[in-house]
Amino acid sequence: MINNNLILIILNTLISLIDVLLVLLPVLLSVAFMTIIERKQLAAHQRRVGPNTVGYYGILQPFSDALKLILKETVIPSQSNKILFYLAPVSTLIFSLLGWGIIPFGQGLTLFDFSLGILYTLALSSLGVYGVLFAGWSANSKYAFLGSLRSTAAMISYELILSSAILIVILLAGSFNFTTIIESQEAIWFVVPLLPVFIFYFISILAETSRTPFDLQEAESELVAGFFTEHSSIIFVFFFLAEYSSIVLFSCITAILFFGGYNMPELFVNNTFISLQAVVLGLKTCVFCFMFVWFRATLPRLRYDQLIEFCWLNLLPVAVAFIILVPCILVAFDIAPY
Amino acid sequence: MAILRQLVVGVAASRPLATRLATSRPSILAASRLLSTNSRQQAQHVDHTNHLHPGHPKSPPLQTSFPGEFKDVYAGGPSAIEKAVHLFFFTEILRGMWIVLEQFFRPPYTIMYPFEKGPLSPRFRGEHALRRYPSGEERCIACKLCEAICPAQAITIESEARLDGSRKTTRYDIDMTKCIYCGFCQEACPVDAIVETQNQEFSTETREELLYNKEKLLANGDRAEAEIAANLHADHVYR
Amino acid sequence: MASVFSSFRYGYRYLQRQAHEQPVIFYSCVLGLIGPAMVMTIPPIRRKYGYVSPERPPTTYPLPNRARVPVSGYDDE
Repeated sequence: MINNNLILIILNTLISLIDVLLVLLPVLLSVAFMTIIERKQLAAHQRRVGPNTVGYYGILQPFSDALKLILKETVIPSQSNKILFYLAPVSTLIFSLLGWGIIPFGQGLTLFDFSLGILYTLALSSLGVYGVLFAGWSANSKYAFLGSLRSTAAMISYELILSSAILIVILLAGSFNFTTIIESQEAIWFVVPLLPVFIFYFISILAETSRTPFDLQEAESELVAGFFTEHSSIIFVFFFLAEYSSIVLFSCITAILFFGGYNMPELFVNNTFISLQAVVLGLKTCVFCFMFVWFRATLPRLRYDQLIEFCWLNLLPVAVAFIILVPCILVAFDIAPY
Repeated sequence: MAILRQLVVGVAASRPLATRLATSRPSILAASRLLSTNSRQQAQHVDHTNHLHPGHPKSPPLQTSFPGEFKDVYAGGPSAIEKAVHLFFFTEILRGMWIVLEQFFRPPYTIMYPFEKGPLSPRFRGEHALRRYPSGEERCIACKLCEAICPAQAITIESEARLDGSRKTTRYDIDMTKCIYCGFCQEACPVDAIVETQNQEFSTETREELLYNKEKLLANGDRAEAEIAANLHADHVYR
Repeated sequence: MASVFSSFRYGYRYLQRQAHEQPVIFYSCVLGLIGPAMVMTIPPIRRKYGYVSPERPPTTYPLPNRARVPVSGYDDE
């Protein structure tokens, strides 16, 4: 009897592990390919060719990059706090990968159908700030420190806008659960009624993932590389992976919150014979990954005071206005979903 | 909004009483002076030649208005709603992004360098060469002008008179690691002996190979004579 | 009368200036004020034209008004 239970527990654990690997490995692969996509797309926008030597069309470039970085020497500043120095990239990567645990890739295709999924995502994006703080503080370098201060201020400021935008989506869907939010968009994607909200939502995720035009913690001309100036070799790879993982993750969340997630109108996708839901979600995610790089190719970097001023003086009033307006419309027309 | 404004303007025009009353309020003048343009926050067109959106500066120029006179300082410019739409929907940024997207679908300009090469000017200054006359006699007369003018002091020349009385170099060394490829040596040369060829691909694996001596330079000249002559001919009208 | 008009005009001019110079704040306030105004005005109008708000969907089952018989004999053991 006890033996049976033990076997069951071990089996369950194994199955969960395989589940997690089934999600994480493709995610890490997609993150790796996101780097080559970014370089190729940026090159195309600037009418260059981009990396094209490793593999066909340079498609294996991320692996050669990773190999190069892993084979490099790890340099640790002598006066640094070693534990935090190693912990920072690891925690950043873990927090950005944990977000994938609740993404529904199709009907019921999720690691954990968490009823408070959005709160979980917001909490994780807040925790991601700690990695940045640790990295800047532990490296004992003024560049890393300044970079981490900038990062932290920007991320915390823009998290406010991000949460406000997501709150409005929650109001419309009446649920914190990703699956429910996707199902409530079967009639119409939330981007149509909430276009202004989508605009400031997208701006805030650009800042949240610290992408151009808000990537001033990586301002190469002022700070060497921002908070990971002193990190080298494999721990640098961790930061790199974390950054691109959060880009792909936020693209995916955008697709879920505003663009109907894995659902497409029946007109375009027929799920009768084979479930294309995951493919649909992937395509939508790709569109937003494209937009991330597109923004990077277009916009110059903001100055630091512009970044903060834009958040608190421009985005925040608009966000607050919509937080008042949207529930009022729901109440006035008696269409609140609860 | 526009209707409301017209209404108010109409009321103002039809009532001289109100205009007289306003004399006691100097805040109108102040209002027309307080047109702060915070260009950091609100991106606006300043390009007047833009034909897509006929642009207007955000704030009209400061106008001298009499204290009692109502003047709609924004009249003639874009309406507030128009401005707000441009501001809130980032029309300018969208136009920029459209341009960037157009470029995305165009072919790249890249020249695949080791396989494709771009055109070189006949004045291109690359690897050095010493030339000969068609008879096979070397041109260099060891005047040492090139050695004198070389700003990097990369050239070393030793010379002596030959049995027939002509002065020739016994040693002509160029340290290619010092050379800055300024081309002064070929400018200085009275007999067009030292020239810079169009060859730029002469990297070596050791430093010593870059210390060129007379034999190497003459060999370069023999190899590239046709090219050098063609380049000099192409360029001679400009000299 | 004149003073009423002039104060109205000053208010209008102030709003106009705000709309031109600080559009973000101005339109945020406008949008934020439209919301409560809609809550105040729209439901009475809809009710006047015969709108009846739908019943809330039940979230629990009403207990039947009869003697309850506990189920037995279906346990796993």
